[in-house]
Amino acid sequence: MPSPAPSQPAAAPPASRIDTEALMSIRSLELRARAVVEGFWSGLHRSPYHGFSVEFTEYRQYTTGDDLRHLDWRVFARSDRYYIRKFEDETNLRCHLVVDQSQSMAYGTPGWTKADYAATLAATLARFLHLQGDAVGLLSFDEGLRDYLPAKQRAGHLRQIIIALDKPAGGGSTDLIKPLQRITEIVRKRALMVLISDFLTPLDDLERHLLSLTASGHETVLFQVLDPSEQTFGFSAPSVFEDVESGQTLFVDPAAARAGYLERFAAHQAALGEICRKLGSAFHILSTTQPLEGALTEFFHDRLKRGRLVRRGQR
Amino acid sequence: MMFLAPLFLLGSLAIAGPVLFHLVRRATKEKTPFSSLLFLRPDPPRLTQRSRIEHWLLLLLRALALGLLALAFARPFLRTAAPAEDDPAGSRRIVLLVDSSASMNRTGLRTAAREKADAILRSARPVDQVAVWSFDSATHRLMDFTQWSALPADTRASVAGGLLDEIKPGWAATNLSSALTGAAELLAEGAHKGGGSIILISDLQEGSRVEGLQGWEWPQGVQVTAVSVTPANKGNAGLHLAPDLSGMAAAADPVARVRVSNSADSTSEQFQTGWATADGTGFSGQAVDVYVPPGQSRIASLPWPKGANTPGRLLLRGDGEIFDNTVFAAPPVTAEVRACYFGPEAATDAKESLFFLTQALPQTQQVRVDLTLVKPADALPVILPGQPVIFFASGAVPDAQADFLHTQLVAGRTALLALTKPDAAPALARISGVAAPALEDVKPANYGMLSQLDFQHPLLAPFADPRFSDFTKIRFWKYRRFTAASLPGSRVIAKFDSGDPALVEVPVGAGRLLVLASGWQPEDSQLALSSKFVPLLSSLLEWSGAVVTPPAQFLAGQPVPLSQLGFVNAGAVTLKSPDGTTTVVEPASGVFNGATQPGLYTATAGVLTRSFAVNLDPAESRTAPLPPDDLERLGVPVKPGTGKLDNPAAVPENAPAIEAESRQKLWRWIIAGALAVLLIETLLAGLTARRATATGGTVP
Repeated sequence: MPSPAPSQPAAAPPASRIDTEALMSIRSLELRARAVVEGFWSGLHRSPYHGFSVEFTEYRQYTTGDDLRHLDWRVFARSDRYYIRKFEDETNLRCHLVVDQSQSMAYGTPGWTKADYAATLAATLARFLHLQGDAVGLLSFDEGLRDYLPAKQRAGHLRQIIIALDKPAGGGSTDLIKPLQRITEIVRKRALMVLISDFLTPLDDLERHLLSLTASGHETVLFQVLDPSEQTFGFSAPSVFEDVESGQTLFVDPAAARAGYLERFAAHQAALGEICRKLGSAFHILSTTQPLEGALTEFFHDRLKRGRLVRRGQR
Repeated sequence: MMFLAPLFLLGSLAIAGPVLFHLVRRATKEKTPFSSLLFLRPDPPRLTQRSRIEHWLLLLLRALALGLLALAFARPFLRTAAPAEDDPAGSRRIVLLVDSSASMNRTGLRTAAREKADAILRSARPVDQVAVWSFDSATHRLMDFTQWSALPADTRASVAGGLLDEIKPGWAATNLSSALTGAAELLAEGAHKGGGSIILISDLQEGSRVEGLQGWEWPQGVQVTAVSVTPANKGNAGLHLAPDLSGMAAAADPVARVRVSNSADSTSEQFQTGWATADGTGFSGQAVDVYVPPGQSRIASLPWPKGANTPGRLLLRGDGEIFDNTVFAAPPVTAEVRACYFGPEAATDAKESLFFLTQALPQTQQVRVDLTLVKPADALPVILPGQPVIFFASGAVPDAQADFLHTQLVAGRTALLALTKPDAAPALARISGVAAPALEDVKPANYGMLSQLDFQHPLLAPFADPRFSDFTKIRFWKYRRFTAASLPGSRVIAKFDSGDPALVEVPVGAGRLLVLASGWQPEDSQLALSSKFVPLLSSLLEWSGAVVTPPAQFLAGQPVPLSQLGFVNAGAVTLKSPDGTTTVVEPASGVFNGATQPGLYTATAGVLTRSFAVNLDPAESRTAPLPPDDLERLGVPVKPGTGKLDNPAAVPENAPAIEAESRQKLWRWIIAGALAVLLIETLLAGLTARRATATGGTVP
């Protein structure tokens, strides 16, 4: 009996097909997500939709006890061997996208904001997982909860998620704790929790609440979306810097303050990385000028390395 | 370099401003939104750090502009060489202008002017240079700067005052503009380079003629101080001759027309005017009451006294100021002119030229023409030397008469030859004295018209106005064609529309022959029937010199051209003034300049005697004060005077410095430099800002 056709994800991350600037200039979030997913998929396979049916996933050799209804009689006629056609099963992966829509996400220097980038990332993930047949849910927040959509795999659910993601970044400051508490309370089944935020808040209680998430059996993935200016602090003119969330102002001469900023920023990032490392959470830092496909590839690659499934027709 | 106002240099401390601004620039109020201030620490602006100045060139330019402004306000000047020795420091050049016009004859004005002049002359310092002038219609230089300086300092005022005393009471008009411009030119020239002042002592009456200052560029540094003298009586009425319009008509009784004008500030309204007795003390007959409100004038017509054809004078009563209350009038002169007509026609034949000529020659008060007919068979007329004569001839003229005409023309007379027939060619040749051009009878297809009229010619000059210049209604049925070029020196005054000459002036000796290529009788043309014929004849009489209409009066102080009185080629003319003095004017000059006072003058040359009246200029009766800003409006820097010179105490200690500074005017150049620096700064700042915006940097 021949071995079933293996399904292999791409080992190497594909080169980006879509320029980030061109992508972000697409107004419709849904189109943006579709563009990224198609680019990503075409990186995995030459022709992602060709030769696949929606339900059919793979063949498996017949073993005793299998339902004869699934036996492929045509293959049997050709090869005189019994193969079972495997169909799409109900998903067992539930993914919750926890997306930060606070005021600080409304900041951006390349021409688009971190919120735009985060929404595109979330929509891309949602579409990708939805196409895989996974259930995707959404929880957006600023200083409080904004939208909550439970994880579902139903057709049309993706549309609701994209509508919720398409809302502009809100008026409050970032509070990571409340959404984490809330989602811990709401989601009882094991799920993949994808946190998308800039994480530019004090990290005091973050570790504790992340721990409660992982303790509940959830897998956590942190996407930190950062503007290039936040990473490099490339300002030159001394001026009054205004916190977009709190409105607090501070006179800063970048030439003098850059070193201190970068030092404190690096410490913050290190602390965040350490928390993730301790909790076994994946931590991805994304610059808003970075191509999204690359980010996705990196994400899936990382998940493969962790021995988790990339649900690409594997079930 | 010295400074007139060194305190302004403190303004250069403002240079610290741009430096501070360049340093404080960091404390900009511009806000940069940022996602989180979590990793930032407050960083107050540090002002002392020199390295913070990023735009050195801009800073320098701004500081330079401020420095230049402060420098300009400090009014710098360069110390120059000491003034010339003949121009000691603090000396002033002053021209004292004293009005001696007729209006100064008002009560008390001369004395007041004399006193003020004395006070000014006495207040002059020994270093000052003073020129003393008087003026009416002309300017009289009584004493110039060198004469003043040559005198001992203590006698200058008295000598100059003596010169002022010698001025005779003038009757001429005021020409303030020529006096002021003359004095200003004197002050503007020379080593002083435009420094000086004019002190004007005058009644500054309305009729002072300041229009001459219009458009005249007043020299810088020349100041006018107006010291006005006011008369004891307010207001004035004047009497003047008005143009006599009756002379144009053949009126029986001649009339003298006088204008009574009342000045705006007058208090009287009721006046009387009439002929005066021989001594001028009262009215010789019935006076006429004239009511003239202030500021207005009225004309009164006074018939000449019956049988009196001698000159007379008219008086005005009811006015306090008598200087302009008498006018003199010469009786109207009738010019007797003799006209000789050479032709065969009868004066009663309405189809011939002569008939129309007898009708059209003027017989008025001014001109009376005596027409003599000379038929082809008649003897030649007798012409006295100097007798005003004009000749007319038509058609063929017998040779003897033509030769006679040629002789008369050579002597300076004028003749008009109408070519009524083609056989007039020999007569034309004999009269003009050149070979006869051939005459060709022309009958235009429809009719001929005059075209290309030379209105520059004195004969047609009265028709030059577009209202009178239409000659197209005169139609010519036939004319005689000849070439004007065959008459040497001829000038074509009018042509027919066919291009043939119609009226040609041919010089013959000292005289002139007018050749009309057609006749004016109806057989040839409509000229005699047109409205142009009579004025054309009048113009011809005046142009020929046979008729001279003397003006009704001359103005005191103005030259009298004797030709206007009819003295043409009359030899030396003897003139008798009202005060009895006689003057002989040689023929070469032809102008009598001694008519300085009003009155009746008599001119005599041989048998010809003419009386003429000289009167005051009517402008002198306009005695209302000149509006105070009139002179300033004309660009004259005038200030009212106190009657004394502003003397030493008023001269500041740093006068030489002020003078040097005002002469050099370095501040203008410095301001210009500051503006140039600011311009460069603006361009540079704009460039820097654009570059900074492009690179996302800071805007200075």
